[in-house]
Amino acid sequence: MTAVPAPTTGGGGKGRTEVRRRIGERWFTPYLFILPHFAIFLLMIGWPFFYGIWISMLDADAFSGADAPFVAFENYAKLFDPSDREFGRFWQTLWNTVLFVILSVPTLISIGLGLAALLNEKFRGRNGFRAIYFAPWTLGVSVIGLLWFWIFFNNGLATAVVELFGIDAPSWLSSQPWSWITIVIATIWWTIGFNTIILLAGMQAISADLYEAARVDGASKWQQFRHITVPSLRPILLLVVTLQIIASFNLVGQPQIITSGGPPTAQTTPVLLHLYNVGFKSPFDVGLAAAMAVVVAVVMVVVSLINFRFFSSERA
Amino acid sequence: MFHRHDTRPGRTHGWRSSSAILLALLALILAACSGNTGSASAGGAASEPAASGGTGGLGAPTNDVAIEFWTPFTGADGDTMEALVAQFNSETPTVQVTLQRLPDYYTAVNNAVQASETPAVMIMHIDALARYAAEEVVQPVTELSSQLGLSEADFTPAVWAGTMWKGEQFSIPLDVHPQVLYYNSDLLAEVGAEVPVDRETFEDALQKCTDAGYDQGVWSNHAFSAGLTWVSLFYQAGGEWTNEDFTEATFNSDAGVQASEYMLSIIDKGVQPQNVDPDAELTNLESLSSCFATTGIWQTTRLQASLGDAFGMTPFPQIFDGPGNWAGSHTLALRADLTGDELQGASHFIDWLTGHTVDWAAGGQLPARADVRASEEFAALADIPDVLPAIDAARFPPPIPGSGDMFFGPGGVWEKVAEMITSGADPQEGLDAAAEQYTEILQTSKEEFGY
Repeated sequence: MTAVPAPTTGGGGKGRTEVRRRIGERWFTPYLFILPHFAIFLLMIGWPFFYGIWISMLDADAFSGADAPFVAFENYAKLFDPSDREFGRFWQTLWNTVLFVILSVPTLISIGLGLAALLNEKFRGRNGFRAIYFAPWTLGVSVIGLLWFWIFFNNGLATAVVELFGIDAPSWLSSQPWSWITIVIATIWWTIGFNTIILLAGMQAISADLYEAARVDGASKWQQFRHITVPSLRPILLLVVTLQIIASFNLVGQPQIITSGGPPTAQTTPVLLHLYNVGFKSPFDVGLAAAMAVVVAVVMVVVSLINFRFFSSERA
Repeated sequence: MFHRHDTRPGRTHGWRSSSAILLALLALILAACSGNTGSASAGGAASEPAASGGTGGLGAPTNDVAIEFWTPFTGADGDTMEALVAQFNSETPTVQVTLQRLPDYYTAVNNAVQASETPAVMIMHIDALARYAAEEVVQPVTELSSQLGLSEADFTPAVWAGTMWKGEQFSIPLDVHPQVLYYNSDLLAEVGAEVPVDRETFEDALQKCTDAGYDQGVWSNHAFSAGLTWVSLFYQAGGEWTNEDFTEATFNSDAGVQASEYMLSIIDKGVQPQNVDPDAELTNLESLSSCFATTGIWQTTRLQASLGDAFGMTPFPQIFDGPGNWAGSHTLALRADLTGDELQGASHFIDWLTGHTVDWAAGGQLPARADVRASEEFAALADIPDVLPAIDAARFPPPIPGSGDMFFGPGGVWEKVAEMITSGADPQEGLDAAAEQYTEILQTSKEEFGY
């Protein structure tokens, strides 16, 4: 990871080009400092990463482990051959994941931004509200999943509320598009606090002078938000959008618990749940699951790069 | 897990570290797929076909042995099993059994196989057994069966056949769990319907219940509810999963289409909603919004508790001409390389356990052993004996690796049935597509496992 000075904070930054040797310091001293982390990184991240790629080139199942025959790109070929039986389900579930990204990222960013703007105002009980919005984020996916499952389950709270308005409630969990909507709602409720807090922190770092100058010039609240807050937040928005895309791509738990991937078959099964099923349930096709994971990883890297390019070009 | 972010704001190059995190995450998933890290252990537990002869016997060994017993029983059934194991341990001082109750059961078993930590005794579902026999994870028990004096007559022909792989027996059946029809006897009396046994009484009762406002039908969009219903109908119409040499999937036959069309006709009559959330069949029965619910026998204790005296259960009604009732079975298998005193202790435990299944049955199972089913203690149980006839109609998928996938697997029959009932997909087209896919899988699998 490269160290980049934090923007806007200013003050105290010493010249970074200056290389100074303290007493007793040798050329390898800095490397010793990173050694513990680097060793763990290699062991826990680096090695398994390449081992996973290796597995994806084996005809491996749960019983063979890594003693399986080498088949090079055969597992990948299954994923890219439209006549193969694995093709349809893989791309369908990948599309499911992408659909969730499309549905959830703009909502989570815009609602997060709006909440942050509100919480940035001065009012009584502000800290209480900040805590309340952040609180669900501290819960685990099983808690969230069960909670929203029971809210939307057959004749549950959601149905009762809708029927108060004289509307016939749909089968939330077993019909489209409702099953996706429930998953997105559950996710917003769960994770909105994180984006809000990060964006709020960013807003608090914006100099009050800018707003004061804008007020003097007669700018409205909306104009201030549009022309001061949003542009100043751009680096933080980049971070939040990127993290949100990655988090949304990693969708597994909510559909697994709330809709079981239904209604009732694979309509809300995300690709990571599909590859888990392929690898860990009968017929235990570990090699194929590993190949799917690699393809998904490549897709995610590409999406992250596009996202970064998009933000940095707008900046220029 | 989901949404555990890097929490440092304001780093314009955050995407780099994020990508690293994401790659790391995937790498971990991949690593997990490979089980343990040492390749030397792969298949280690299974490498030696067991010498099951000689030392095994009916009695407990004289030397002390400790037996690991793995099960997927995480609910109330696990408590029952815990009590049975405790009773066995107190009666048999030389054999001490430790029970493990594992969620995500086969993942745990597979990981144990990779790590050479396979337990001495494990539960194998009858449709999963062949794969573990083929992979030499479990050992043949043909000889043990004869030592215990057990034969086909002590079980049922169908469940006995389900424990066979390449002419050898690989496990001893513990129970049979059929699909059943639960009902509320108070509501049936109120609407003037009798307990359904055939097509006429079934449709009559559904109609009367619907007319009276108990209109939430009988099944939900769950593989264990609508799905099992399809399978029972398929069996009753004379359906076979495959041809005789297991090279062709044949569930797209007339029987499959008949089963599908019957389910659609029930929906068309307006006595079964098209969309019922999974598991809502149970809450609907509990909240008196339906007279019926169909799923496996394992929901018995829950519904007994919530319906009280109104609780009733019966085998799935006879809709078509032949007998047929979906069922599963828990069987007991032994680790491939188990020998000596351990093998003897484990064998003794299996014999004892399969003979002490009255309590197990009370938790919502039918005992596999005929002598237990014929016992007075069994006849004295509440409700369970009412579905005893289902055991003779019970059928299982063919005893080959992965045969359960034809129904439950990706692209399998259940998905097609679900699409058909929820969104009106054409039954024949769906079944044809699934049959084509599984014919391909059957042929690959036949080649791989050589049966």
